[in-house]
Amino acid sequence: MTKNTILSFSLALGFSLLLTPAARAQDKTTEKLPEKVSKLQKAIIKAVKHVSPCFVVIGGGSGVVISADGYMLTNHHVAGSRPIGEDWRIKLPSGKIYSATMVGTDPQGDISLLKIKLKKGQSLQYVPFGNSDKCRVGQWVIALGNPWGFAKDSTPTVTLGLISASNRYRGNYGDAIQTDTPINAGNSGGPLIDIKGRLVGINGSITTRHGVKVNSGAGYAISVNQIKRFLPTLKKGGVVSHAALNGMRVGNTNIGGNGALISRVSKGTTAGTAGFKNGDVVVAVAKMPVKNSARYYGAISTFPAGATVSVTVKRGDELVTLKVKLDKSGRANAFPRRRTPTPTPSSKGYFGAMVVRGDKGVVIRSVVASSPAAKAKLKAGDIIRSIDGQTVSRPREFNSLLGKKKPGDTIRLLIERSGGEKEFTVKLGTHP
Amino acid sequence: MSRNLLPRGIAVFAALLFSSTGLYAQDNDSSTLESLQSTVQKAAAKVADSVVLVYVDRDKSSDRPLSDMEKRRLGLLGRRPSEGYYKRPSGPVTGVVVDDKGTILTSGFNLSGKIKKVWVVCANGKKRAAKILGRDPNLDICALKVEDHSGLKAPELGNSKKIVPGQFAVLVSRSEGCKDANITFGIVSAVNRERKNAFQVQCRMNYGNVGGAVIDIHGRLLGISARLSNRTVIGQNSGVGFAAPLHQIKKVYSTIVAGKNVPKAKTAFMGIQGSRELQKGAKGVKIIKVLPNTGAAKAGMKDGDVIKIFNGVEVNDFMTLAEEIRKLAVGNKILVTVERDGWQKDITIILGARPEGQ
Repeated sequence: MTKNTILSFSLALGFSLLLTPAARAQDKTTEKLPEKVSKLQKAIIKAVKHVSPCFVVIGGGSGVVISADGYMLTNHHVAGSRPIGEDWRIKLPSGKIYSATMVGTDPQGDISLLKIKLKKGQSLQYVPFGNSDKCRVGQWVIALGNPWGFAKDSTPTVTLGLISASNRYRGNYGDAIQTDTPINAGNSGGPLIDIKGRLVGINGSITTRHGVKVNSGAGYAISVNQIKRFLPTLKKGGVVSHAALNGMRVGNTNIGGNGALISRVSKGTTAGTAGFKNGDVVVAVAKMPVKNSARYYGAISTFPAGATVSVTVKRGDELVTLKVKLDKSGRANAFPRRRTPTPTPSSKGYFGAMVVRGDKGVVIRSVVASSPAAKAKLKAGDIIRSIDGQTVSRPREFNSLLGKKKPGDTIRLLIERSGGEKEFTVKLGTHP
Repeated sequence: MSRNLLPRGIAVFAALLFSSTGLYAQDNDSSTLESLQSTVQKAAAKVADSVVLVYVDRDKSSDRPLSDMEKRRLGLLGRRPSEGYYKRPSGPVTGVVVDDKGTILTSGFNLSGKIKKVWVVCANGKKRAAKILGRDPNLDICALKVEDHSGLKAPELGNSKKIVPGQFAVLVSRSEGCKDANITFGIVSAVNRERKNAFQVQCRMNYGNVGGAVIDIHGRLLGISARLSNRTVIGQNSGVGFAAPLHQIKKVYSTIVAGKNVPKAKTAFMGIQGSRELQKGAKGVKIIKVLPNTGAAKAGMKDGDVIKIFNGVEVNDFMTLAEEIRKLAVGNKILVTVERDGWQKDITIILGARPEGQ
């Protein structure tokens, strides 16, 4: 035997030693799962078992119980059509039906806080909060929801996926968690949990294609860290606003995504008074690193109006931290470069409902809580036939007639609902 | 030359040995994933030979077009998908061999319409003629028989009664031109859906792989994927998918294999459109409209009546009322108390059957 054959023999022996136990056991009739896979499956089942009792069916969507005394969260677009103080009937997986009262709502952040009416001494199982900034892209997350109402028989629909991206600014969501966990219509308002059963987000929107509301691989959740910042304000009650930092422009620098460049600082504004200077580069907002202007605006929007935050800027070679009491955001979406329609200037009468084109003409898609439309008792699904006697068949027609009105003007709307017709009077308000 | 090779050989051997013990591959996360990956592959490989392609030649005009109401419901809040979205795509679908006599199960939608011919192409590429046996519309499954069943075998059967939400599920199917079976992976989303006729999985399901085998991570058959059609709101690949559980299939197996159809189970239906608004102060469910020719209409209920008590249960909202109706069966005689113009009336109603499309 030559040295070469000895060598190849030892290599072959080495290879055979490297065969995985699973491969060698292929012939056995009672195969055991690889331990890691079994552990992973058990962990998922356990997390699901723990959080399922906290799941809530509300309206056409989902919610989750966050405290033993009955506070629960859902999306504003699920519950916000009912004003503060009004009740929703909700259902828990136990099969029991409860009343939950609207406490506070956040239209821009798409979160509503409700309190479930419990009997004396009764307490509920709740989901503990996690830390969304500690979540890593690529980690497992689980969504519990009610897609297409299948959970109405009391048990949530559970789906598993990964965090595809974090701290996204998408639409109104300034700090969204993007996930490939299948989320569909009805999952809105439901919890997104990590594999340890802690809340990391509330599911709220998805990217769709071909005009069909079916998951296409990207869903978005409002981060729990943003929700934590808003909870005290929401508990105080009412419609809450997000923060803004007025008086300066923040854009993208040309120095490779290392911050956001400040320009056009105006004297006497919040930015000017706080000490920001043209040429400063924002690198952090309240210890959240900022790499570009989208993240800057997103981070600011995770705070409620009036919150005090520290913003760190790079000024030359120095790092300067400025303390700012934030303003109130005047827009539903504060990020200036988004292609959303510009808000109505305050000189026009404010209606407070979104209209879309439906089969029969102009349909109300959603009503902003506490708005003039809500006060007039208009509802999502109502068909607007005419405004002040003028028939409308397209949202454009309706909006242009509405646009001629001023705050304080009264409009007469002929509404079709459930096969009946009725005239509603709406007193237009001032744009918030 | 051999003098130089030996040290190098030892070095290679040592490197291989060290890598297997993970001395420089200390990444626990990736080894779990690799383990999961190979487990899924093995599970699918176990059933691959039992999963077949089903070709259906049907009279195209027999594919029932969607009504306007169905289109609206599918379009969801005013948006309208393109016409093509509603058409059944062409191409073969999937079925699963479930016994050693050549019985194949697939979804009911796969074999709906006026069928001219069905044939099956198995894992080894052999084409075999097939005959349609019976269907169960409640589970949405249909049985086929191939006369030449040489080499066709059933997969290992699992216990579908023990399925729990969160456990792994794999959907194994076939597509044209692919030697290997196709796989989509996920977890079980819920059990006892659709009146216990289905369990829900998040494995992406579409018109090609419906009818395929839903297996557990061990490779044992749990159910046949079903309940997807061009009329269902769940759409293709949404992550919401259903499968008919094995233990429910077993109950109707002998019937459908004998070529008989299982009748569609009827669900109790009162026949009203109720208000989902919470009545302030006064409790109850206000009737917006009584539908004609229903139990409610025949019993004399009228638009505007407020249902206070249903079958002995105080109903304060629509959700509670729907729950109570759900518990009952067609033909049940129920006492209902309604309020009309301030007067309380007791009405006896016989529940009818829920009509199609409601």
